[in-house]
Formats: sequence, structure tokens, C-alpha cells
Amino acid sequence: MEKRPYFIFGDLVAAMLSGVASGGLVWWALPGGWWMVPAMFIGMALGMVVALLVGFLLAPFFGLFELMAPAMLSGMAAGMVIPMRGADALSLIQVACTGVTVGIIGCVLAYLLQDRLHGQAA
Amino acid sequence: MTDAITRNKWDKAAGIFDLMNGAGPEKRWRPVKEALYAKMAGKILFLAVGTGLDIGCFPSGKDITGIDISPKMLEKAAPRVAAYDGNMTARVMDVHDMDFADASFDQVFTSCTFCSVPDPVAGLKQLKRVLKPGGGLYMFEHTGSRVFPFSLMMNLLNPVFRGLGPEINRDTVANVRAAGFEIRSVNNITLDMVKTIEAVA
Repeated sequence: MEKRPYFIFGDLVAAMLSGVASGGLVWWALPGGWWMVPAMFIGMALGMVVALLVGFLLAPFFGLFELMAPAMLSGMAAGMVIPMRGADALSLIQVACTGVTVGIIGCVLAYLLQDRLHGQAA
Repeated sequence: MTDAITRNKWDKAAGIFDLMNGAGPEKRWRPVKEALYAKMAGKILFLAVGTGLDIGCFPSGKDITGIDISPKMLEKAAPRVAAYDGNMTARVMDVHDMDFADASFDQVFTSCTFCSVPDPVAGLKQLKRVLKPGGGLYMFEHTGSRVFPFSLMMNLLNPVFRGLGPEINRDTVANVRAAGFEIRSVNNITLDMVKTIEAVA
């Protein structure tokens, strides 16, 4: 697991930024009249694209492959969570807070997965 | 014959390669690369040299022949090759079409190379040809993931990455086996997406 504070900070920022940007985009692009299930899938897809952009933006500072896991998990999850919570019922501040929370959870999950997979595989 | 499409792609990337990779990724990977390159011994083939970012991780005093398909990359690498504290040369060469004699090298090291080689199994077979029997192949590579949802993401995003440079969903461990190497170890570095692979010819 990554122990250097600089890279932990980068992974966390990428995940939170991805969560906020993805959640915000879904909140703006998919009004509450959308059915929840298709909105979730579209949100996931938008989240993946947003996470890729965030990854490219921060890659020179922290490394693309390492950022991709927390950013993708957070972007996709935020894209799903905002429609589930009912986009129309949320203010932009609430969307941003949800994105940050999803980002923190996404980063923790990515680190737990990294801890499980790291090391000798064959 | 040199693959002109691949050469042009990496020639174009040479200008921004250090900007994209020089700080974050190389700093992140440096301890792992140093540990891998600490195994260097004998006559060594290194690919792909790129702009020479890996050279700073090499132990001093080794006998290293580096190759890269891109002349522009090697132009950028030239000062780093010259500054290496050992015997190092770098040549423009396509791994599919190397002009080294059979069994020329004791070891081959690769760094983020087989994400980009157009026919990875053919390229790896060429490495086996130039390695002495029982010689070691040491790879630092990013590969596809078997873990959902990363496997899905990497498959969906692969066409975007292929246009920019590397592929991100290759099963390099399987390719190494398919080329006739015997795998000695696979070590996951970042999830199962970045790994070191050690094999023998």
C-alpha cells in the first residue's frame, strides 16, 4: 500500500475531484424526471469519462495508473449515487458534499483492494 | 522492416514524454524499478529506452545495450545515456526486427514496453532468440486487470489509449508464456495493473 504522503494526497484529491465533477455533471445533465435505473447507468458512464479527464490532468504529478483506480471508482459511484438520491432534490452544495464523500470512500476501497492484490501473484 | 506507424506515434510523443512521466509516475515507481534493475548482471539488453528516464534507476558499472523504435526519443535520451556511469549504448531498432545475433545477451530488461509493441508475442519471441539459453527476462509493465470494474473500464478505454500511445488491457504474462518463456515470478505493484514479471528463456 502507498505510504508516501504526497501520493496518498494525490490519490485522495483525484478521487474527490472525480466524485465532485462526476456528481455535478450528472446533476446538471440528468434532471430528476429521468428514470433512476437508466440515469444510474448514464451516470456511471459519465463518471468514467470524468475520471479519465481528472486522471490525465493529474497524471504528470502522481501517475496515471495509480490515480485511475480511486478516480474511476469514485467517478462511477458518484455518477450512480446522485440519480439514486434524486438529482432534483439536491442543491449543488449537497451534490459537492456527496461527491467528496464518495471520493473518500472510493479512495479507501481502492487502497483496501490494493492491499489485497499487492505482492507475489505467481 | 521498422514499423513506421509505431515509430511516428512515439516520435510525436517524445516532446511531452518527460512532462507526462518524468515527475509523478517515475517518482512513484522508482523504488520498484531500482529493486528490479539491481538484478542486472552480464551483458544486458534494455528496451525501450524512451527518453532515458529509467537510466537514473540503473546500478552503475553495467554493460547495457538499449534500443528504442523512435529516433526522437533517443535524441532526448542521449544526454542520459552519455551520463550513465557504466558502458551503455542506445540504438534505434524495432524489437520485431532486431539485428543482434542469437544468444547475444545474458539478460533482457523491459520497462513499460509491451503495452506498445504491436505484436507482443512476436516481439517476445525475438527477445528469447537474442537471450542466451537460461537467460533472464525482467519486465516492469502495466497490463490489463482481471478485477471488476477495472477490467471493464480498461477494455472500454483501450481504444482511447491506443490512439495516444500504449494499450492498457494486454495480458502480458500470458504473452510471455506464449513466447516460450518460463515464468519465475509475477509481482503486483499497483492492483494487478502494474507489475514486475521475471522469466527465463
